[in-house]
Amino acid sequence: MGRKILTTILASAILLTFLFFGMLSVGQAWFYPGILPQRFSLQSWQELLVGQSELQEGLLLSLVLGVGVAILSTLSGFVISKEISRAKYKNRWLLLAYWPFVLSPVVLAILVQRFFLLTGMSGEVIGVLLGQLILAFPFAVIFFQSFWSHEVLQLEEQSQTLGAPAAYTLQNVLLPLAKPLLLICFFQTFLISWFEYGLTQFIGLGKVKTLTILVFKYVNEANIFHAALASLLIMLPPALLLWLNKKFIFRGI
Amino acid sequence: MKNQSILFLLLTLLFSSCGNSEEHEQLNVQEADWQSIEQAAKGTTVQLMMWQGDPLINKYMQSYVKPQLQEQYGITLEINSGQGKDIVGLALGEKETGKTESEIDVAWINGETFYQLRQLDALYGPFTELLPSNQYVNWQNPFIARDFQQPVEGMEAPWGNVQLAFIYNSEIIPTPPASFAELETYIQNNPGTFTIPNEFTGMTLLKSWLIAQAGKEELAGEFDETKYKKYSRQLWQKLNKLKPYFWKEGQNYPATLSQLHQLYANGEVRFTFSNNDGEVDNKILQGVFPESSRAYVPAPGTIQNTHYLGIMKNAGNLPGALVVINFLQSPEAQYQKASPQVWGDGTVLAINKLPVAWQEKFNNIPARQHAPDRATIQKRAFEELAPEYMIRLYDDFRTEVIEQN
Amino acid sequence: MTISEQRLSNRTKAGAGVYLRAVFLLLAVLPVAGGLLYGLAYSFGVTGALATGFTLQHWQEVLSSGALLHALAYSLYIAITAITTATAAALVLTLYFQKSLRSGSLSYFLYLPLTIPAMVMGFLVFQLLTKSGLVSRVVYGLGWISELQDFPSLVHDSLGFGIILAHVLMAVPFLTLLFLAIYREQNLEQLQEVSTNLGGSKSYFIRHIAIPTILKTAAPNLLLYFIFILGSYEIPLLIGSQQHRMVSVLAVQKFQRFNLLDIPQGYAISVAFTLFVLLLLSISFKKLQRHG
Repeated sequence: MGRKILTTILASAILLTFLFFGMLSVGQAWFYPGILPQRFSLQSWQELLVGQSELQEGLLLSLVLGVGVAILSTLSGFVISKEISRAKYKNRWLLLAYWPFVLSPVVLAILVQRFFLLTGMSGEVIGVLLGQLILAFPFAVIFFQSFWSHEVLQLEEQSQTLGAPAAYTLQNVLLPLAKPLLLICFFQTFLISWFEYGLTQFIGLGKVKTLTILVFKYVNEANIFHAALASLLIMLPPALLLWLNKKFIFRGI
Repeated sequence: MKNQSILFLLLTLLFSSCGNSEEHEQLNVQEADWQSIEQAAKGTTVQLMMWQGDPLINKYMQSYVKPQLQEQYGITLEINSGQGKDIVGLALGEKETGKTESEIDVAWINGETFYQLRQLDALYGPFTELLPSNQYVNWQNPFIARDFQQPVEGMEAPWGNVQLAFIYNSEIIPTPPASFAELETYIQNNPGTFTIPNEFTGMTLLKSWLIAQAGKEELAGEFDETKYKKYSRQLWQKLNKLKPYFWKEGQNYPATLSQLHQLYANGEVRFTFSNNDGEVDNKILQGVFPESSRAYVPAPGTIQNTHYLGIMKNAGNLPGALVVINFLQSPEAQYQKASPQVWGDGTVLAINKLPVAWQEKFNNIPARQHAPDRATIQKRAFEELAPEYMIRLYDDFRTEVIEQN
Repeated sequence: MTISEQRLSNRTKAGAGVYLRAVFLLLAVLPVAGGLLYGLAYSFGVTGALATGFTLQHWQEVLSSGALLHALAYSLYIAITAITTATAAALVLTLYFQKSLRSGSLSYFLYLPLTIPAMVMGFLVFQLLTKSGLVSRVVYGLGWISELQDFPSLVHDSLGFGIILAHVLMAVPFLTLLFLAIYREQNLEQLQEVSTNLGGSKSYFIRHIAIPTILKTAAPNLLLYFIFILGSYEIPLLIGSQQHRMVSVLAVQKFQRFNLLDIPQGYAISVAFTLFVLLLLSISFKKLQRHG
């Protein structure tokens, strides 16, 4: 019984969070000690979705960047992960892959910012894409390590020993085996890009306005109603992915 | 094969954007007449970097300035989000990496950014004499002609003029403390309801407090170490005495103005501050502040500050930058901006220099509802101090007050 | 395939492999290594627009002011407290709420918090727990406090309660799902049956089998999460204290101050933190490998 109550509390606490954001996004004049705002209006929604196109552009940009980062890092991660898994000092290589991934993104951004300025890529979408790749690519390499197990490598070798060309092996042996993982990696690297703030801000110079950058801006505008709305928008696509398949958001080990 | 093509793709990506820093012939704007500058600017894009922390300001730029520039001059204005520190960071980075063309053309700056950009030699100019609108600018006003005690010398164009104001809720405090001296008693009698934001506006407050102690003329001119030491010590002593009565017993301070605004809106503290004396009106309009909010300037006064537009030394589009700034200084854009419904930003134009029709318009700007009258607070205006004061106050406020236990 | 042929094919593979490894180094290692070198040069005054030539001054200032050590210690305190609390909570959920987590509404809802990015979490915790936040309003409505000043100070506080809470809220769903996956993959259910058949109590199983297995398997992930909290930026920026700063916040502040001469210090702090994390990572990875 107690268990049931606790799980209900937990579930409703999670749900209430989202409802709270929903309430703020249509609220105005939320003064102490009122639990509900004094006025409700769809003004924030209208302004952001109809009037100013900033949020729409941010949404589109985030999507494009996310998909770009996801495709590039998943593909390159898949191929290069195989190479690393066969390397003599595999663990040392892997340790290197953890480097950018564990560093605080802002600290990393501070350190690499000059490189992007030097190559003229800062303030450009391409620069931010590459910057996010610094995070997403090693993630993908580490991610696919579990796929390139001894069995898979053997299977590939068998197929080739039997005379199958490399392309055939890839298409008919490796890809079908890896498909679920490829999909998961795609969405997880998409999310890395989707949520990224530090590198995007420092490399994008405020010119590349992804949704996350906009959320930060609204939070700092002291307008909690806009901030709540933008927060909802940023949580929506991952929630949608979750609804499609939980594995897209979370993968155990 | 596949591997190599991926490698190739990555390399292409890596270097694709390296090649686009081509030099192009720019019009010599110092020699050209205004018409040919406008001609050269037509059809170009101008990159403006500005602080975007206020929805109403953003709206003014988005739905008035941008379309007008497009319509009247055929210029596409792109607005990039970035405060003074970001602009300086960018200028520094570009200098260090030897970039010949800046990412931005125009930047919204004020005193301390101006000082830093000049340290880096990152500003273009002098240019204000080139602008037709310049004839209306109120250069006689020392608050406009000097920025943080530094002569502007045509290196930045005034855009707006504001003064630090205290904002309070008239329902909770019918008669707010009339002076800095009274404020001290007020804080002691109402513990836990006052705090100082540890950022730009907070530092402007501390500077005002410093001047209130030292007297209007005492700290004018270049940075003076002995004077700073003398008066800042007095100020820290005062603040440390008041500290136990601050919000959270002075153990913590809001890091951003927006946090303080929220604390104020919810009644957690009773005062917030704004570098724009008209902000209270637009925050009420947005439903962020309670209706009964009012703004005022305590005696002996607070800092009045002009904000400016500068052009980056390596701007890729000088003619465009000039036309944009000229438009932002024009009577129509300044008039639009001064209305409390739009932004409530004080104009930098001298009304008596304007054509009569504009004079009338400016004299009939809808009255401020909850903000103080400009003419009244002008008597309580302090000039900005030399930028070093700000730098030192910022450091010392941390070591002498925040970190003292 | 003869042995010599095999060698040959291995060699050609190695040829393509070099490119791949080069790409790997280019994307994963070069940015960090190059950034570190640049940062080092900058912090020693060798490069930079306002550089004056080689000097130890910036490092001396960083180390002697104590700001870096203070920030590092504070970050360690936050990260250790947050990861310990979150691990404990996730263990309780995994071990005692298996069924409700596997089916029913919670099995879906538990994933939802994973869609909340750090910045939004910071914003949320602030709106909930500040003196004038939602919780305070509810408590006031219930008559438990008579004015908002009575509500305890839970964000922007010196103890970092708000920061820790935000991190715990982010970590618990992730760790719970991780532990559940381990539970399944390590066949702990069957082990429990065996243990019960042999007369072991449930608490014996949990204490001596389940918890050690889960923690051991999850160790690399826990370590990474710990490091992630150590370097977190958005949350302490939004709800942190002004008295104690976490390392990332300190570094960025040095960069974005009114004083340009502070920038080399910002680089020194970034480099020092990077080296610290890399050291931590290599040492613990060696240890984990030895045990694993």
